Amino acid sequence: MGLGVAVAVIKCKQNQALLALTTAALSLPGLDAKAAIPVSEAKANFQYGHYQESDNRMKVQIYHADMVLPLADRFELTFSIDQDTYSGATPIFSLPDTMKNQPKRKKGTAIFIPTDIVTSASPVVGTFEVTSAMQAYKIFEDTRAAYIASPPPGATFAGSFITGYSAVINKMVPTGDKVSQTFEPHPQETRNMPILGFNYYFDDVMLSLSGGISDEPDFKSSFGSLNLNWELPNKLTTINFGYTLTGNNISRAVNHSGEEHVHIEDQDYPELDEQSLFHGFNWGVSQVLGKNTLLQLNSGYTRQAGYLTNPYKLVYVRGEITAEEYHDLSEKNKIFQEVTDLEIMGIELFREVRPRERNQWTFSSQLRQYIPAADASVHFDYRYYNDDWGIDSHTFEATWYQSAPGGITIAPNVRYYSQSQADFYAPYFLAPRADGMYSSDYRLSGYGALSGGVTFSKEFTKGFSLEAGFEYYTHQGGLKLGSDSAGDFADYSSYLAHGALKIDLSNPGRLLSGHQGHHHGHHGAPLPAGVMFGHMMENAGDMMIGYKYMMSDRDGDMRFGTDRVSDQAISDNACGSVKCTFKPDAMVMHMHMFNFMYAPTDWLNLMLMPQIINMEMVMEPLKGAAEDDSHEGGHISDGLGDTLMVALFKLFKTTGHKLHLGVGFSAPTANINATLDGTGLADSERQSYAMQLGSGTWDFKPSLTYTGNAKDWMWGAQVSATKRMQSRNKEGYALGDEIQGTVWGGYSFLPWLSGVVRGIYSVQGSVRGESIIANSQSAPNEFPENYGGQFFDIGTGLSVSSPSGEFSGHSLSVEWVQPVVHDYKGYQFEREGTLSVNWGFAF
Amino acid sequence: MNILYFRSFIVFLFFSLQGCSVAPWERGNLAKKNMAITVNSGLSALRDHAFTSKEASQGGYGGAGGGCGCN
Repeated sequence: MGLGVAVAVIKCKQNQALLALTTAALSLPGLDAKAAIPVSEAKANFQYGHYQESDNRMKVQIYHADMVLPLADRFELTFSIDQDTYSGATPIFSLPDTMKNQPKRKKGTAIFIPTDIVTSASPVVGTFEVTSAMQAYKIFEDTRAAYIASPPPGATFAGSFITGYSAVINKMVPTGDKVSQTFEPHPQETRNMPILGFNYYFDDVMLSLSGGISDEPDFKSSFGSLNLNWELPNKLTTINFGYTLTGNNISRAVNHSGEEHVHIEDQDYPELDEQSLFHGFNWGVSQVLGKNTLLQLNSGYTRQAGYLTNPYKLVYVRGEITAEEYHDLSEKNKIFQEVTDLEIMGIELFREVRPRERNQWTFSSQLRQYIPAADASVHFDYRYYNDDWGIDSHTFEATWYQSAPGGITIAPNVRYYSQSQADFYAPYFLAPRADGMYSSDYRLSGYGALSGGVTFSKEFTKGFSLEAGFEYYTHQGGLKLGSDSAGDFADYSSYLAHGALKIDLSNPGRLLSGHQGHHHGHHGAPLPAGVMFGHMMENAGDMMIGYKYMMSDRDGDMRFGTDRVSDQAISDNACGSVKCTFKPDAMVMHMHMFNFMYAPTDWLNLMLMPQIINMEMVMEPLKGAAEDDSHEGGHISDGLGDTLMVALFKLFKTTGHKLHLGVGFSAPTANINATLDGTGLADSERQSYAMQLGSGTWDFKPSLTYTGNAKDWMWGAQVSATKRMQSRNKEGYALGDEIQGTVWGGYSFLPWLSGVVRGIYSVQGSVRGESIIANSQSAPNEFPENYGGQFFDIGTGLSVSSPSGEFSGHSLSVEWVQPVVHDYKGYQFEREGTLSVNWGFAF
Repeated sequence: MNILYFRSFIVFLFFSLQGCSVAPWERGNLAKKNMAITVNSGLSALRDHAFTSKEASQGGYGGAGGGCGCN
């Protein structure tokens, strides 16, 4: 198979679906006989997933949105964004159980208590910590005492220590000693992954190009792929090729307190800054086998090169450092790097090392069989995987898609997976390996996994469907095919629950609803992107979906009222009765808001607006302040924000003038327990009020909007407010109330392009009450009185909309709001401005 | 070895199926949404991400997106 044709399939689940469908759908009534048929109208999917492992291990929240937009007859744009927020404990290493209960002398006493030999000296900071930790063990002291009491021939002072170290590290491990895993809590982190792509349809060939990035604090990845699907003239066979290139940058997040740092000069390990590069090739064929049967065969090869090690996992290796070498370390005759190439993390504990190259092969077959008697289709998938790390695996999966009346589909599913272990895997190593490769990552062990679940979906009219599903997964050594499993120490289970909303505007359901051909799109004049609740749809049955992105930036000077203030004044006055040690230096908020809007009648619109928020704050120590590391490295908080529910009522309408009232409520769906250490635990110190993702209270949000237009001119005004309906949230405070007035005017330069300028005046109250949970109290933003103020801002923006044609119904607007006058309550850092981008699609 | 088998299988399939035909009017069932290779791309991506984060095997059904430092 000519791989010289470097073309391939990656990331093309959607394309494959489309391909399979269209391969099969040739000459159906109303469908064009092309190889693959581009979407005729926009499609969008929104999905939420919740992944949870047993015993409070990893928990992940996954938000996903994707859309396909037809740009021209044969050309479409695809976009998707994923955000995962994960936290929880993860296994770091495992060791023989015997090592966990060895008597160690309590500091300064003659009492010995059972201690874990390995973890008592970690995280390591230097040679002294490793060797002195060993010297307190009873076995060390007894052996050394015996050596000194009756010295062997040629006894030396060093010899007494060496026999002691030797006794500790040679502590007898019984055959088949139980494996014991050690977990480490993972601070909350977020990964974002946007992907942009294009599909082009030739007569028999579909070409797809896509590229994206995946960004998390310690792992940055960028990738691009090219796919080609070619339908053969027999109209029964489609061949696909794909190629993808992925580049990764890997670093290691350092703990806040710096305790993972190895920073004594003589054993300073460099900070991790590594790369890896993957080339992936994929080729396959799909074949119609009969009027009810479709088969797809795929094969793939991926070559990974560079840093393929997990930067957090550790291994226990006996004998990598000898008793003599431990003595040299304790005498400072040698440093870590002189005794081993491995990175020392404790007594007999090292960072894992994997080969810098991995070649992976896969083969898969996917069978689709329709069962007319049941109006069901059954899917059988099998995958064989093999790599040169010694792992091979088999995956079997079956899904039954049962159609039921009312547009309902029920899809039960079962999956079985079994893998063999990597050559360099062991739960612990009782001797060094010649090749220097080690991993105790349970994911490289020999095990099996069984999972089962069910997905329900219901299709409504107008191409809307809702879906919910649940899947339970169990990982067990004993489920492995064959008998050489890793044992049961790493067994765990997990579940994955998901919900999705799918919108397909070319769905036949929409034709039936009688809306076809009357694309009314947007009515009235475009609005500034930053104005909320300003647009009302005017026909009963209209729907709109929208997405708003807002980025707010604060990184200016510190002010008190309207004046700039010195560090000294902040330190003395801004933190109540204590002295401040930090000030906020920069804060960025990214908000992603999704908007679902429906007009049950011509005078009422209902809106539901969930949002996702990411915030990052950098703190700076005040000049001359006391030493304090509580804010080192800054803070982040990410997750679901509060959810808005709004009803808009038409009050008045005449040619060129409209007035509507908004009655809205904000539900406290956000977590307001972001902590400095990222754990969110009840007793961890809270981050400042501004860094919490929501208000924690039910809020009332009324608004009154007037809009007008004449010829190419447009104008409008809005008054809006936020009133907290509870006096305190569950953490003991309430954010201040807000009121805002704005007036705008704009001009349409072209039928599809207009510019708009506006002024905004807003007043915000300070925080009422104060957090009853221990919160940090070292910076001005951690005190309720340093919130609120009154502001005058100017916004300038552009709007693009299309009254007819390909983009009918779409609108896109962008606005930058620049602060002009600031009058802050208390001590605050300056607002720098807000960028808003708003996309809407009415249908 | 497996690759060799796979290639032979494809070649066999390719030639053996040239004779079979499914008339356009017989393709209604194949066109059903639930007969697609990937019925639910969003869910497939979600599950693949969970599986590749927790299992040593990667890829196989037409590739995946970007890497992650998943633990």
